[in-house]
Amino acid sequence: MIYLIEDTINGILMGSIYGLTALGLTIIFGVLKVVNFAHGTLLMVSMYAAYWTVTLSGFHPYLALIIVVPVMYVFGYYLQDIVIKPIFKAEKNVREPSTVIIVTTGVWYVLDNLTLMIFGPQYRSLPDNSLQGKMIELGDIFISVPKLWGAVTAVATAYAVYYFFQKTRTGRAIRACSLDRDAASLSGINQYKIYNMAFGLGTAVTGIAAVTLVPFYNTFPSVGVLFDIKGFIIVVLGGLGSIPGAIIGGIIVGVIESVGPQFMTATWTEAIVYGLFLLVLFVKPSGLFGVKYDW
Amino acid sequence: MTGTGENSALYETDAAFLDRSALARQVVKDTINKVLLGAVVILVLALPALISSPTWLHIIVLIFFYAYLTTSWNMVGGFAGVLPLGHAVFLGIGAYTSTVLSLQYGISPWLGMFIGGLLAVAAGMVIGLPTLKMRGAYFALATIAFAEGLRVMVENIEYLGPFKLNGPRGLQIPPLNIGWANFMFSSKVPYYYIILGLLLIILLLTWAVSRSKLGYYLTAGGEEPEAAQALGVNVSRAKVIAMALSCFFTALAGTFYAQFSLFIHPKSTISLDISFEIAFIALIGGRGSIAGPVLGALLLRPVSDLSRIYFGDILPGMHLVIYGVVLILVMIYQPRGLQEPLTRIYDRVVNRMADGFIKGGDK
Amino acid sequence: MSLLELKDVTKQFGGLTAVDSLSLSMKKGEILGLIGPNGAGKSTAFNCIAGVFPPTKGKVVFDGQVINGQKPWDLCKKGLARTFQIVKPFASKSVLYNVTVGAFATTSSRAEAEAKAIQVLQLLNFDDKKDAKSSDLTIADRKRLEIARALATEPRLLLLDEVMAGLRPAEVDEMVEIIRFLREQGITILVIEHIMRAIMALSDRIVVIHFGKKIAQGTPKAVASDENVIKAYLGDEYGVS
Repeated sequence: MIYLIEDTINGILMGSIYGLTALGLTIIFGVLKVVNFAHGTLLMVSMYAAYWTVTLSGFHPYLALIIVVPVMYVFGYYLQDIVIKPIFKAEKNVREPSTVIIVTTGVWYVLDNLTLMIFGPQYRSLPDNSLQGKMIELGDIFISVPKLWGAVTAVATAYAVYYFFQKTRTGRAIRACSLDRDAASLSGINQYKIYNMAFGLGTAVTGIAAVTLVPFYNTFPSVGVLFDIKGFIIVVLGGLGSIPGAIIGGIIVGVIESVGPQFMTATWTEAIVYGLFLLVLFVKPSGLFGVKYDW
Repeated sequence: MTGTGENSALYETDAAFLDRSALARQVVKDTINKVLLGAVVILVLALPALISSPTWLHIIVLIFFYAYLTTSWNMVGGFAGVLPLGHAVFLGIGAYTSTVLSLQYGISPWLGMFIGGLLAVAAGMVIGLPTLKMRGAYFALATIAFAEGLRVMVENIEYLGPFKLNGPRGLQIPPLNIGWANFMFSSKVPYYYIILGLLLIILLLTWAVSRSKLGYYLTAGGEEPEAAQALGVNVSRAKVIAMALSCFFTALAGTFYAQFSLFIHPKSTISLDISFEIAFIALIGGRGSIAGPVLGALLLRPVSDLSRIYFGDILPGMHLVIYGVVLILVMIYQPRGLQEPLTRIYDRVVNRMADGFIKGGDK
Repeated sequence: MSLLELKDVTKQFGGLTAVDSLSLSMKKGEILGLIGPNGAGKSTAFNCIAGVFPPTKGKVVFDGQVINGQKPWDLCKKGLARTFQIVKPFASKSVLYNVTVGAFATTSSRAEAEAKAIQVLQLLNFDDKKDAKSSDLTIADRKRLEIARALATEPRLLLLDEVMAGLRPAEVDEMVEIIRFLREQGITILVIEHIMRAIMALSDRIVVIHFGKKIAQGTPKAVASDENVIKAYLGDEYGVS
């Protein structure tokens, strides 16, 4: 019973971090109406960035945020500007820019394999640092410290993003653009710049997620694939475009993954997550909090 | 066809002259096309006699294999206009079905091939029926989730009910009973002709569909779904039918693969890498066209094989980077695929040849 | 016996009532005009009939059958066709291809469908352009293509959504002739239109909608002199006769 509570709590913590990793995806979808298939790969790149920042500088892992976040913002900004914008322009009037899916999948492929080529397939983990492996004891329950830090960061980031979109001028401009491109551009907003910013923002948030993961999660070239698929599962569960949905969807997945192995093998747990995804897709594709979309 | 101008009775009018030479041109062009096609057919049929090295034959068999897979994918990815990114799962279903049935129950792989095809259709319906009416991204995600989910499952279980799947170690097919009945040969040559035959079948099927009601409906549904619906097209149903066809034929290739390489395991059959490679090749070649996927395979597979041979050790995964970069460039500059500029070049060459013949004939 | 009947059809979108208890009926072979100021609810009513969405309340009855909520493709098979206000040709394909898609509604053979398509094009004096790419057509020709496509499905009831929008006066007259010709072929036609002279010339009867409600119905002449109609349009240039 104790284990169940412990698992649940750790599941919630890990789940919040999952939600954070998916947050970037939901932001990009919410604004650009594009499912960024390169999402996992951007997380992987961020993780390498965080890993090297911490390893080379010896800082506390969370200080890496100072470098990783701006770097990833710029990376995302220009990725959108150089690779995706031309497709957007070409498919301006198409209801569903499917070529963007193809192109982001291409980006996924290129980045994953370039990383493999440059850094090699080995798993890397941070050398001993102030967070790794530490636990807090609450009676008989052990709570993972890095996960706790991660969860707090996740909630804080989610709130900050929410606030940004609801209350700040830039944020509202971005939302206006997502609702109606042409109308927004008529009110003097440069839509392509907005898209660049939104993509940059989504990627920067993914960078934050990477920083929280690196202290306790291995970094390797195909780590992106796992998070990519999980990211999609989470945003479909929570609803594409919904910020609270991403966090809550993440928590659901995190809890299943944590508690599941108590009752069945880890493999079946993974299969259950996929199954749940397909179930949600078939039953309520708009997710728990998603905006109803015209199919 | 004589005119009534000043230069009357003896001369043709300009228009009549142009008509006649346009007609002549068309006849010459058609003849050139037929001759070239005939030459290609003869070359392809005679190839095994010309190439003695089994390694090269192996490579060519794989090129045709991918050409088959991409053409099959095209049924759903090109004609139906959606993006299946987990198609290798049907390859795996075909491979595992026929292999398990033949190893455990002695059922002929040909029969197993057919059963595998049906199972693949069932699986395809499970994914397709709900998601083919939604936004494209959801279908793509569902295919990835289904493929990965199935791969994880197969990798981790020994037995599925009474069937032995052997988890990650995979299944080996002992080359015991040679002969057509058992789909087993000691030389690569019969395999060459089998995959060639399959390729011809799928190309013919694609051509037939493109000219049929289903083809028209898929195209219409892809371009303007609302208009198509108002004209009586049940767009989702057309897509589902295309999906069923595609799944069936992809599974057949799974059996071929199993019988050809004599070893299957999840990573080699149900891998996301293969799924993506199929999709990328079809997209780069030009989805929605009949020649596109084949052209893509003919162009890209050698590139991938060569880069694997030469760069494999120093730069692993280089060929995949190349694929990705080419894909992005093609999508930005030639979204209809490379078959468009290539077809134009071909037309220009044929035109020049036709002009050459006509001028020669006039002398 | 009416071919089409709307019984108290109401359509609500959340808190907004776009169509309010609309009732009308159409006899076989008549041309009914549906007019009203912008935002009156014409398109919504149109879409309820065409199967784009079901009405919130009330019944749509086609040839004695209630068709609420049936899908556009099923309705097409039953003999109900429609055109789109913003034309939607299959842009990369030829005119003949476009019309053939429509012709497949009645047959599964490509040869038959193509032959039928050519017949329809000849009927509309359009067959000289059959191999033209539809994205290369002028707007007037694109509207003709819309009608040709719908015609190829052998409809009994044809719904035309602002088919004259964007046409020059000469082209409008041509279109009026085409629609009259369609009626002579036995097709019942419901026309939504803003171009008054066209709809006055064409319609046997007119229904006027304002704020989702029917405010007048009758012959063109009667409707033109109806007080409520004039008030709704705030100075309809057609004037009181």
